[in-house]
Amino acid sequence: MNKRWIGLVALLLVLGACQKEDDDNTGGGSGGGGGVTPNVGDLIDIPFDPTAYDLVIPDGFPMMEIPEDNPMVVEAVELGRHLFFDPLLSVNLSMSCSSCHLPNAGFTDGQPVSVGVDGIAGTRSSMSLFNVGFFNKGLLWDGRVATLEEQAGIPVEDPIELHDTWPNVEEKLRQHDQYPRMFREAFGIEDRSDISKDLAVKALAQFQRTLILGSNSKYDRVLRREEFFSNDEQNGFDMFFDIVPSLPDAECGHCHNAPLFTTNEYFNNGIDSVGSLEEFDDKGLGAFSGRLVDNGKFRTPSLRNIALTAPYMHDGRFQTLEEVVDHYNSGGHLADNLHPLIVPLGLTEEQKKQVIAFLHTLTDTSYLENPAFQSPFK
Amino acid sequence: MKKLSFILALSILFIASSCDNDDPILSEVTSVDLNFKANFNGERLLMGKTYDYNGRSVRFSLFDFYLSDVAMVQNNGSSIEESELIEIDLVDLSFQQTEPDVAESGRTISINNVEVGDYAGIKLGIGVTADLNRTSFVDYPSSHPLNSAAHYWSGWNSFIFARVEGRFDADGDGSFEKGFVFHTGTDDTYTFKDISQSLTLEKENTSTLVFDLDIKELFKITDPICDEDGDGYIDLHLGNCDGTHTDGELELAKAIMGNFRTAIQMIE
Repeated sequence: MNKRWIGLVALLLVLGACQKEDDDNTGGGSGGGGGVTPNVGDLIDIPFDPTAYDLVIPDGFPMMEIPEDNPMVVEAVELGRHLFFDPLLSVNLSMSCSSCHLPNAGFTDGQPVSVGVDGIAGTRSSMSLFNVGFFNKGLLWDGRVATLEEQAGIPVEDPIELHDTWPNVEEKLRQHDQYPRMFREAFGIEDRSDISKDLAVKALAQFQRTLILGSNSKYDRVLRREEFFSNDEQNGFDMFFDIVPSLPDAECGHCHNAPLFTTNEYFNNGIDSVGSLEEFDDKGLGAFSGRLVDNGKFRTPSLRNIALTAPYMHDGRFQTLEEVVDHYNSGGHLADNLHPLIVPLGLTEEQKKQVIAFLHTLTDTSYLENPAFQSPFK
Repeated sequence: MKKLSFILALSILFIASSCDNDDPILSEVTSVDLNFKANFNGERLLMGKTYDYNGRSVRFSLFDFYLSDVAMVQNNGSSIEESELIEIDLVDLSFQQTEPDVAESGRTISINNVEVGDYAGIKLGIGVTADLNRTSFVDYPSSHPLNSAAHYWSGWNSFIFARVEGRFDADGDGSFEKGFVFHTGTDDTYTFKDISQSLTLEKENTSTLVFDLDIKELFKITDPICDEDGDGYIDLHLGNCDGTHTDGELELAKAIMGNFRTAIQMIE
């Protein structure tokens, strides 16, 4: 009899432990219990039921790493798209992120250097945002920020960009007739006062992670054997990747490796003539790393849609792909940190045209038909 | 009542047996540090520093290589057993001129949970094993050593096993106008370095094995095509001997990878 009593007590203890766990779970999801008054905000009646965003990664692409604290959801991507195209984020409501990253210009602005809300020109060319979610070795031309979330916070307060302040932008978003609902649907905030820079940059980062491009260019179709290169394109491809010993090596593929057509590394590609590494006007990576050997090094941009993203280089000095190929064919300017692959290539005029013909096969304008890449305010 | 007692007893027996069954017999383990340092002709290697290359000046800008299938070797008399230390890792020895102290320290790979005991030596695989070389850099997360587009050459369908890059003053005018880029890869160039030396790993102490790698040794060559002056080293001033990218240059890549066997020495 005693043994049975002990057994029953043990069973009750186990059940009790299980019940405690259930109670804990219920408490978190129901907005509070046990007599605690929930913090009822002005958004609490709006449903919060986020839908996981299904990123479609092209075959052969690397995996995209999503921060654990910013999982992709449809509602946040949509919020990010609105924020990206909304001039509300600038001090005088005149510019948005999209002013320097126009979809029709391959998510650049087509200018050598970008000009901000006060008419002040920067020193760098707007970088294309295609496939930016795959880049994990630093962002911007000099790699000074590590994540899209970090990057998205910069232009709002940069005096030569949107020149606002985050507290001001947060207040504009809180007073808006749509954004409080969108922040609620995306992140589950209960009160419009919960709208913050942190959530805004998360939404912007999520939208930018959806700007994936990599399955509809001619190059991709040739890879899938759905199409063939022309003779010029094929020769250009062979020189780009140094496939055929009988053709010169255009030395492109080492730094612009497929599938993203960038290794996302930082190099001095010889565009500046300097007497010493201290003399670079724009020190690029060196200004961030503090290492002399990094002066004049800039991030290798992706060449996908390169024909749509002129002008070229970090300061937009080259207007055409022809000028770019001429530069590389020349061997560039010697410097102590010049990349060893920057040497005179010996390409003939015809071979230069063939390399450019191949570069045009990386063009994919199908995204222009995708409303998810366009402004929601049209 | 009897039925309930029986069920309880059976449950206890079941739980007890499930606890006992898979208890492993734990071996004593310790930690091992593999430390790599690079030299040029016996002098500590620094990127950007000028070295004499058989009468001409050379500067390096990059030197790294993959290690794979690294194992401690145990000779039990009748059989040889290997305890894997590293499946794959990248050793980057590109220390700048401003980092002589860092270069002196070299690059260290720390491995935990290595069985203590007496070993007959260590085996280093230089490059990427054939199994891993069937994969691509896109298959790995950013934290993995194989996640590097810069270490994959699609023309070879291969990872780049080792990279030696720099510039060369071919005409002696001090301008270092010539670049060289030796990238090696493909299964045929994969190389093993076997080091036979009695090694005792003790439980209480982390063992540090120190390897010196003389990069000049990598440039040794017997093929006269790239050694016109007959000094036994690659003539970097020759246009077809300043890099390894295409299939036609794989023999040179193979020679460089083979040279790792003599270039690497375990000094401690």
